[in-house]
Amino acid sequence: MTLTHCLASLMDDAPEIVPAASPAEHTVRVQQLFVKSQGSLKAFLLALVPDFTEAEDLLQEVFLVVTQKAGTFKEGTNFMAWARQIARFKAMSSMRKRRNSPSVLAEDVVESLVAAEPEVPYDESQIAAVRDCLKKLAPHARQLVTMRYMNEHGPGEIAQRMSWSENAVNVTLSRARTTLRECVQRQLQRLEVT
Amino acid sequence: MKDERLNVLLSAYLDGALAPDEKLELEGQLRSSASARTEFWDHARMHAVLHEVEQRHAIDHPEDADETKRRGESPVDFLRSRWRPSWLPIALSAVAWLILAAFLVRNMAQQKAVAPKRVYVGELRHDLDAVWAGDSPQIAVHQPLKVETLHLQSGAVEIALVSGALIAIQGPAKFEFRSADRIVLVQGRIGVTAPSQARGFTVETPSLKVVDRGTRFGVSVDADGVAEAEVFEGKVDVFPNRDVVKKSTGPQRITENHAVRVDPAKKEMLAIKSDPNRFPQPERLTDNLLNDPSFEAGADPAPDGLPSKFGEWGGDFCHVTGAELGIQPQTGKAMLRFLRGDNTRSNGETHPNSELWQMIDLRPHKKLMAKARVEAELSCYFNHVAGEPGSSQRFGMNVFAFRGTPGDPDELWARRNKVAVGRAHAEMLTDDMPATWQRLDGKMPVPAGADFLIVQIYASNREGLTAEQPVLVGNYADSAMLRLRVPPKLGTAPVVKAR
Repeated sequence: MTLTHCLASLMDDAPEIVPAASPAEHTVRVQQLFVKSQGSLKAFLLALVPDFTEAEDLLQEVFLVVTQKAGTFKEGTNFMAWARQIARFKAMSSMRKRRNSPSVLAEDVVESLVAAEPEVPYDESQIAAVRDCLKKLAPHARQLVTMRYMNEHGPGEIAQRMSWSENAVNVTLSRARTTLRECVQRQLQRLEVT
Repeated sequence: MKDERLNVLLSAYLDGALAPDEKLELEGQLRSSASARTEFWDHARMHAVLHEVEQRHAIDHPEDADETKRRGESPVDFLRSRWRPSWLPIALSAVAWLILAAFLVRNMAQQKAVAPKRVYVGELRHDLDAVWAGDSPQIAVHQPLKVETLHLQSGAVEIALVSGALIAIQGPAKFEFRSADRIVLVQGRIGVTAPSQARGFTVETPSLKVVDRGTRFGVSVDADGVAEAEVFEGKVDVFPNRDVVKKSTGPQRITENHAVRVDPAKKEMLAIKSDPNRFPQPERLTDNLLNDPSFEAGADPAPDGLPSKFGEWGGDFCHVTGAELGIQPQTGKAMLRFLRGDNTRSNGETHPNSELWQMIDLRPHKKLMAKARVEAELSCYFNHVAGEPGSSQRFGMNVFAFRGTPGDPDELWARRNKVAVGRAHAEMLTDDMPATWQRLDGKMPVPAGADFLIVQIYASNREGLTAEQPVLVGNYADSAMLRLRVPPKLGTAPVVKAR
């Protein structure tokens, strides 16, 4: 049911007409598709731009472009493919501005990575599996993951707060993620079997 | 066995800790190895999922986040977590409210700096002289809204949420969208239209919570924490904050034209006189009132001039067709092709334009028209086959408002300029590109006493059709729309008198 259709339904005796989507209604539908897909889009952006704040800003820019260009999206076609193109363009544009930063990969590498992105859906089963696996992490590793992903601190800041060396933080985070990836893989395989 | 070195490099990349030489090393591996690229996506996916999991956890359990995150908790959560009964005697004083308000303002400023939650909830649709406070994000029309605290100093805004709810918020107001179906209102007044798919939309205030049960309603909170809820249509459930009212005060279902107030100083929820005009109102739009607006029914309109019944297309000779002559329908599988400037009742005369009409009965909308100033918004898409450069074609629309009943259509049309109580006209020349449709828009105020409308769309060449040349080659229309609109408006006098 469209937004305006719903508004009309609040009025007495509103006619039972299902109209063609107006541009405004179409835009709202496209925005709803964006909201549904924003987890996948954010994951895509975070791969190319791992900084959380920057990726969120880019996601917002993608939302704006999606809104502006909603008229060019045809309902029934692949929204993610369409929106990912916009996200890729935004990410590349942002990376070009910071091309000398050590955290920005060369453009040809990024292109080859984008071409190799697996079509594994980003869904709630992964979220649930990660949530379960987090419970199995060693307490100090769990604490570091919280500081990194909940509080969005970088390794330097975590090292300072924990009075650890930055290298120790890097190693612990790396091992924690490896443990989690292995655990999630096992969980998802178990789900497939059952 | 997985490459440990690649593991370390990818981890450093995701944590922003890659040294320049490590970056070159990682790029080399990613360029040369497909399995390294697969490994990259494995790591990146975990990076993203972990962030999502932890951010959701931070929203649900702010106590688990560190102090920077805890500053991001909502003002109402703050009140709930700290407002224990032993505080009540202090909290009930106006001074305490002012202190709390001052704290909340500071709290919001800190929250803005941290910006911990970034979920898109909707966009700002209308701005009625809105002035945002300096400590608030400055939101412009069509800008998306995130989960964040906003402080509107004066004026009003209308926000369309992805849940389908429309909200008008009038300043001074401090509020935060917790999601597309939940708003925390610390101060200010709002009007909410929650259509069926947004049922359950919730407004939280320090003194009460309002849960929509399919309705239009208003909520206000003044600087002393006095909150009111009023239903304009439908019903809501109001839950008073048990830390604010007497324990015996339970939730109440409020129906149309009823209102309640929770005054923390009096510790009770009271019924009060309703007055919807005190609240800002979001825009109201009807459905498309045109029948078969995109000609998908597939039937040719009757070529008998102005139709005598509501909801039927009729006029000059026209044809409903699918894609042809290089033109695709603007929507669906069908579109209208204007053929000639005459019809079976034009007695051999040719109009300068090929015209199509539809009459619309306004009587089902009298209730809406009686309560507010209503506009009719008309739009239609037009296109024509490619011709010589500059061979643009004329297209246009008219909408007329009348009182009474249509009577004889020919007589009515002949006297339209004398008897119509409202009229709007729009015309344009289209481009020469059949791949693109061009939209024409028009609107007019609908007089409160109007009983029906006549919508006319037409096509012509630049010079106009003649008896010698009554035929159009390839002129099309599609996706016509006529809606009644009540613009968003401000509330009138202050909702609650300051004590």
